[in-house]
Amino acid sequence: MNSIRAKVVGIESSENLHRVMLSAGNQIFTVITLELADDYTVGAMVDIRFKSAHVALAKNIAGEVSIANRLQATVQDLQKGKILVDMQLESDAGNISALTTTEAVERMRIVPGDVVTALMKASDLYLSRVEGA
Amino acid sequence: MIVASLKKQLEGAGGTFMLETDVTIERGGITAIAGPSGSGKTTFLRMLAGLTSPDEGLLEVGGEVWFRKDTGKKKQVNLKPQQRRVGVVFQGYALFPHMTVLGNLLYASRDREMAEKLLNLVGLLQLKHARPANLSGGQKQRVALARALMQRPRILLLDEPLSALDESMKTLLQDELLKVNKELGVTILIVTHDSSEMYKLCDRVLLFEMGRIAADTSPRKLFVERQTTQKFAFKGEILEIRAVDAVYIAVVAIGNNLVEVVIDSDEKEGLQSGDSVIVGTKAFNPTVRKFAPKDFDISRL
Repeated sequence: MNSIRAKVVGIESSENLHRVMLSAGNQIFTVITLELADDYTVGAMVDIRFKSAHVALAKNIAGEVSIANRLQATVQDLQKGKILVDMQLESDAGNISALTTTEAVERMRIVPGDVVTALMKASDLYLSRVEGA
Repeated sequence: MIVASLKKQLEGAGGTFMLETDVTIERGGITAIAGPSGSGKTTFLRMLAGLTSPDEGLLEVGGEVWFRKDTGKKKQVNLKPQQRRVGVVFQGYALFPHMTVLGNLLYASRDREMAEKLLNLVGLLQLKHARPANLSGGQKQRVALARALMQRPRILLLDEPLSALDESMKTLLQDELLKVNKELGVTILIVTHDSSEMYKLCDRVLLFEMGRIAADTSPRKLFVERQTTQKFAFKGEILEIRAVDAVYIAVVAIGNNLVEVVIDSDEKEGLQSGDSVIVGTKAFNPTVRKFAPKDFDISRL
């Protein structure tokens, strides 16, 4: 499970549906969520969490994309299976892992050291209280 | 309104401990009494019913003192169970086998009109002349419920009344409990371990731990508003984790269901078979469709 420590910088709500903006490093993240406890407020430190299977990868991305979260990252390591690849990425906001198909990695010729864009839908991310805080 | 400020020393598996409650319960609600076994839940109900005497404290129901024993000058009070207007239903049915359904109710109070009204309320009027031996578990439990209501109790105490019943019967009896609560205005306290039961029936949960009320909250706060913004989160136990390709598959038992979850190496770290885990996902991910007969119905097990 990926975890990025971030600071809440904005909350926009419509009834119990919320759009939460967060900053980590130079990156702004957007999370869409239902219900938000009272202590998730602007200024609070929280962890943004998401499964590696919910990270898509792009190389030389161009054009308009609806996905809210686009993270520049460098490929550190690749664990290749026959069907899937577990990839370690380093970014300004923290290290994350991405699960993608072996077919895609080969087609995109992704190798360690490559700069890629990790794409995460706002509704695939969730927030967790910082443990011990 | 119930004011229960009671103390009693109990013998537990890990030695003696103090059961200590200081709680006020509004009239007309349904309160869940939850917590691990041996935490004092049943003793708390028994003290309310007058079946177990507290060491000291005060129990007041609707302004009437049912129990008082303290160091002050006020007179000690300890009403007998039959003076308390409490209805009790435990897991065992405890019906008189030689009496009919109606006979069982009339034994509690000779009010035939009330008996018929209650049997109608729990949907058993047609079976009023049947004997307990000819009834199903759910029907017996409904008779026990109706009988507990015969003396128009102020408080109805239920100790895991539905735990021995199958899912569909449970749902039916839950609906009846809601009806009883609404139509008779009786305050209900129910010991239960079933989170969906708490959510459906109760406006409040008192979570007992080692004799103390460790949490006093709403079922919604307890089960829905969690540590994270994940909406679907269930407690389960890992049965197996196996490596498949570049990922791992965890087999998790959640209640009576077994599910497989794909986890990555990060998540797998520190997890092993037998671990208690929380399986969760966001509210955006699950799909919902109508149950079809071809679907495997786990509740039949």
